[in-house]
Amino acid sequence: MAVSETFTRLRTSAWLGWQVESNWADPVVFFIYLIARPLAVSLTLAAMYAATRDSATHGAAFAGFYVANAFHAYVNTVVVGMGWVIFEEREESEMLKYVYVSPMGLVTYIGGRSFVRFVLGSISAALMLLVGWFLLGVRWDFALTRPLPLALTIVAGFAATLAAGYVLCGVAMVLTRSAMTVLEGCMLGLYLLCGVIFPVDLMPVWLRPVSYVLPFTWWYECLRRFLLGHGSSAWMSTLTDAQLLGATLAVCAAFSLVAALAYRELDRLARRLGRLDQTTMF
Amino acid sequence: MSRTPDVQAPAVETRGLERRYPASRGAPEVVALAGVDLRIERGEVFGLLGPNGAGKTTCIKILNTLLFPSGGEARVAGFDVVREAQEVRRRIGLVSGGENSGYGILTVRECLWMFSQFYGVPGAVANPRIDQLLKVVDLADLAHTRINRLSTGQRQRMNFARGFVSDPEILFLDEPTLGMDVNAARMLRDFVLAWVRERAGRTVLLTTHYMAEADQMCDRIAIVDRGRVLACDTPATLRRSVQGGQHVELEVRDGGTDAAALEGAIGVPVAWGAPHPERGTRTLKFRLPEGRVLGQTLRALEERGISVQGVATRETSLEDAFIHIVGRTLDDDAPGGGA
Repeated sequence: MAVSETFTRLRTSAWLGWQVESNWADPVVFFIYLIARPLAVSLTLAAMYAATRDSATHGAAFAGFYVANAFHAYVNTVVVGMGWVIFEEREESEMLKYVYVSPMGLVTYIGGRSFVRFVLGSISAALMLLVGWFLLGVRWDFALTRPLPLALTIVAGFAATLAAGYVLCGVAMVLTRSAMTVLEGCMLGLYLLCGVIFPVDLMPVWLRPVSYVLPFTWWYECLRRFLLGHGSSAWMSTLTDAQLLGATLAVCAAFSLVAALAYRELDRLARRLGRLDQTTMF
Repeated sequence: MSRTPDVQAPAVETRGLERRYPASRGAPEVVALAGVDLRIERGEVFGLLGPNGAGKTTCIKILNTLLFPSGGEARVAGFDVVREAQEVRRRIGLVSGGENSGYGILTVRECLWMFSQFYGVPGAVANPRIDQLLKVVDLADLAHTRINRLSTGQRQRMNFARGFVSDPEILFLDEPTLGMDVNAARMLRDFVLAWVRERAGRTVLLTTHYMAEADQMCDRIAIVDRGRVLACDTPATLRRSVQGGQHVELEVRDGGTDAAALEGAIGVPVAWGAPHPERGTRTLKFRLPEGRVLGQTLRALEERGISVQGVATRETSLEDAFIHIVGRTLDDDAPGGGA
């Protein structure tokens, strides 16, 4: 009974998520919006690559960063999007308090809403990989691809994505007007810190530990290693496949655990501060 | 897994409930609730009546698990609102009036259906219930209209229906008819009363600014001010708490006698109303203590040259009781009060 009730609630909030995400425009406009962003990112990366293509190693490096950028769509769409759900529910529809006091609870609700974000993130990632494969020459040798580690990596990465999303939900609950800025800042910070666009080795030494505690740094490195057959970080390249996979799973699990605790505390803090129905009329 | 509720437990019970908003950005600390003790039995329609800043909404927020108290204890259906919030949420519904809330992209019916699913109401129960509620709030014709196309009043009625879609044990109505037109407000008040009557053990906690609404709907009323309960009883008993006597309003033609002189003449405090723009008369209001005869007072006024054109008397109203207990009207803001 409890499982089917939870499933119904998840399905209902996912349905609401789809209405919110897709219903603001007619289907043609929505379709254009859906493909415009990944296409723009692909072309921007291609232009960057073209501007610096004089190095012989750039082909492999570009492929690595391209794949990371493709999967970073999940961070942009799911993680930041989950934080935005709180912000919009409180400020725009003013329904956050009604959802919060319903027996469904915010965790289930946000979980359902994140499902649609996962679908949109998947479409974005798939489109980027397709554009890369057919237009930009970002291809991989299937003989070098390791499906099982790759599948494990993807599952761990999705779990970390969801966990990070809940943390940003908690942050958005506690903050009011500044939540918008913080969410945008997180999106940018993760892009720079997680080795999406350049190797972590190029970061200042004092900043690298921050990169290494973020699960996405490990996730992207694993995706490169197990999909393309090579990574981008010199230090991580010294790890065997098993070590890299083990470290990734451990970091993702630890991060998810910390995220769960952080969400619980942020939820309590929001309730203590009375932020759940506090609109700022920004 | 839901815990078995204690059917003997009162619907709502608070002991020494406190809520303080700490000082911030130059604003002083606000004490919204300063030790509130309430006991609301199952099956009651209970009113919280108080001026702006009295702490009514803060109290509702705590009972709805939206806000932590700073001190004291609050239980809903026997469950602690802090430690057993999930059990509380299974049993409550919340409607806040005066809001423009709603998912604009959904239709009215979709929104109600969605909340029925959030509360785990089976479809076979939810659908006819939604149909009935749409009729009650007079939105049946707009069932398939998007919420962003509704007027504010229509949104409020939809919000009202949403509160009933789960058929909660305990319903919190926070100023539910605020901003509604007279007919809609009356219709909804009647529906709430019928809803409580037809379902044994259902409880409503109502906050309202409207004295008549509280008087008509509530079995008991707690008058709150500055975070404290000043009185709690049935409307009739609260009215009786004002000393006996008659409230008198005279329409008089007067050359400008001041109130103090009149009080000396008739022996009771008086208040002048505004001059009538057409008839050139003014209203003189006073409460005649028990044992005093109105005729003597009228003669005393005429001896002072005041011509009485009309006489009206009325019983003590809840508003009289409220002013007597709180010391001011509902519309007067409380300095430094809470939400």
